[in-house]
Amino acid sequence: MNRQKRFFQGLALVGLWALSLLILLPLLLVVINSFKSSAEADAMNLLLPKSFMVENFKTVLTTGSVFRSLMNSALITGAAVLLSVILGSMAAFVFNRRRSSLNRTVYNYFLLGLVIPVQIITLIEILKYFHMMNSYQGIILVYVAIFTPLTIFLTYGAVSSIPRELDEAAIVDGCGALRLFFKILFPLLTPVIITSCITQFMFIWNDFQYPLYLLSDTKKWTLVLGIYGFIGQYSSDWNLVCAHILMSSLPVVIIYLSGQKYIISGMVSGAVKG
Amino acid sequence: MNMKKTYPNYFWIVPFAIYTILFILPGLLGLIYSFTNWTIYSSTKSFAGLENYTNLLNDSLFKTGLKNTLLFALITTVFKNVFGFALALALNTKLKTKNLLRTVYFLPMVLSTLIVGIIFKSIFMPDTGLLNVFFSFFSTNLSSTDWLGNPAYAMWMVILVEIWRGTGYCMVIFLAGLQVISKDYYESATIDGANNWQQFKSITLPMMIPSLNVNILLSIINGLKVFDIVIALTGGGPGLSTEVLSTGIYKYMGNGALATGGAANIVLTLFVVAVFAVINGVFSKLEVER
Repeated sequence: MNRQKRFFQGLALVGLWALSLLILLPLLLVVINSFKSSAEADAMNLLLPKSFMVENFKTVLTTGSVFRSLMNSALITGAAVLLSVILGSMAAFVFNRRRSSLNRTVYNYFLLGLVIPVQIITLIEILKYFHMMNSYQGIILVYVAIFTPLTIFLTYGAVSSIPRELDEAAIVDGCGALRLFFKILFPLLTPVIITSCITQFMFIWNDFQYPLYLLSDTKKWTLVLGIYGFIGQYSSDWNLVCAHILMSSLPVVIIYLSGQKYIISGMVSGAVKG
Repeated sequence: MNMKKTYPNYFWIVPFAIYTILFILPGLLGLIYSFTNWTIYSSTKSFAGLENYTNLLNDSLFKTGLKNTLLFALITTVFKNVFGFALALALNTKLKTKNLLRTVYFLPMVLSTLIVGIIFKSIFMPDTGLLNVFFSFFSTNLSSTDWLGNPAYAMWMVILVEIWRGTGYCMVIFLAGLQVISKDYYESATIDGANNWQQFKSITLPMMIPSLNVNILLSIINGLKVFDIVIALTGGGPGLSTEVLSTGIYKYMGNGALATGGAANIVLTLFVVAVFAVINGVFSKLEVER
């Protein structure tokens, strides 16, 4: 029985790794072809390159304005995540601690944002009205509007688990509301804050739809939009496209591999919103 | 303790304003404008009743888009959940390297959808793409197919790529669900002489209903909102064969038909809200019965 069980486990292991090739091979394809010459990469196969063309990365860096788009991505993603997380957790704190009828109504009003899709055409009209189309502020605030509901939802639950006595003690010691929140509550919310940061970071960093709609100036393009534009220009040079893909995916992949624990828990708690 | 002073309302006023102006207001305006004749060329908007909606019903871009959106949402939801559940069951055992395998299966979710689309566009290339090179070992007929260029296959290829991308996410949610099931249930079931299948049917499956609820809901809603993967793989073509609601909205906007696009967006919203209500209703009933 035991031997049979071990045999099946071995079989399952082999099967699962074989299946994982379905995931790994397409990704390997990108890595391999990013080092090929343009003619070699034409076929986009898994053969190793004849010589490793590190110049591809240099070419992409100089012509694809990767550095600029990297900065744009970092600015937009960073600012949006920071704002959404700080503003959202402050709101969730008050909603949870003081459940007046007004606060409860506003909390539910925020939760609508978890389900309803964005009406993009009128959103653009409103941004135009405020002269925020094609601007960093515009797209950042749009992301904040989209993601604050998620932050509020996630942190609301976490605030419950922090004893109220802590607030009272701090108030007695002369803390104001702001200091109470930032000095006492916020540090205790760290796990859920990191979780919601990472979930939002991954979405915004990888997002294509909103930059496409809201940013027309190539100087403000994010990495993902940069790749889209790059393909239009270099569609025949798969080696360069692959090099671009590799460079712009590396930051998220590294964050994923180092923060896996939080990402997974973020996905799960974020998903509970249903 | 003064509640109003300790937990002041100004803590939520800023996000409230941003959310209201950039999320709720576009929603309301979108609804109102969908009943007008608003285009990019008209400076005034006048009431047009249900005209935009009736026009949509006769518009092939919308009709194809709606059909493809529903097909995409349904098929990807089924397969992502079936495969995700199977993987979660397989990886919830004491297998060696199970953590590494989980990491690998989730990896596609970390990449930008646009990038995933570009990678598969190259794999599906008719002459030199990886898929046809692979097929050429078996059949020349199969290997000469232009997968994304043929209207009969293109939408199915888009669906296939989304299943590739999203299965890992479902797996992770299922894994989380499996891990909270107490081992005691299985132990007492084994003592009572229940076999593996009976244990699966009477313990695992009922305990997984909440995870199933989350996964189905998210898969369908995100499926209804699909945009990036279509743009990256086919741009909606060939012809209209892979258009979905969101790409349709993008095209109406590009053509200046703002109110028509807005009406299509409202239709999308109605579908999402209806699906949310129905699925939540079904699952809350299931959970009560449990």
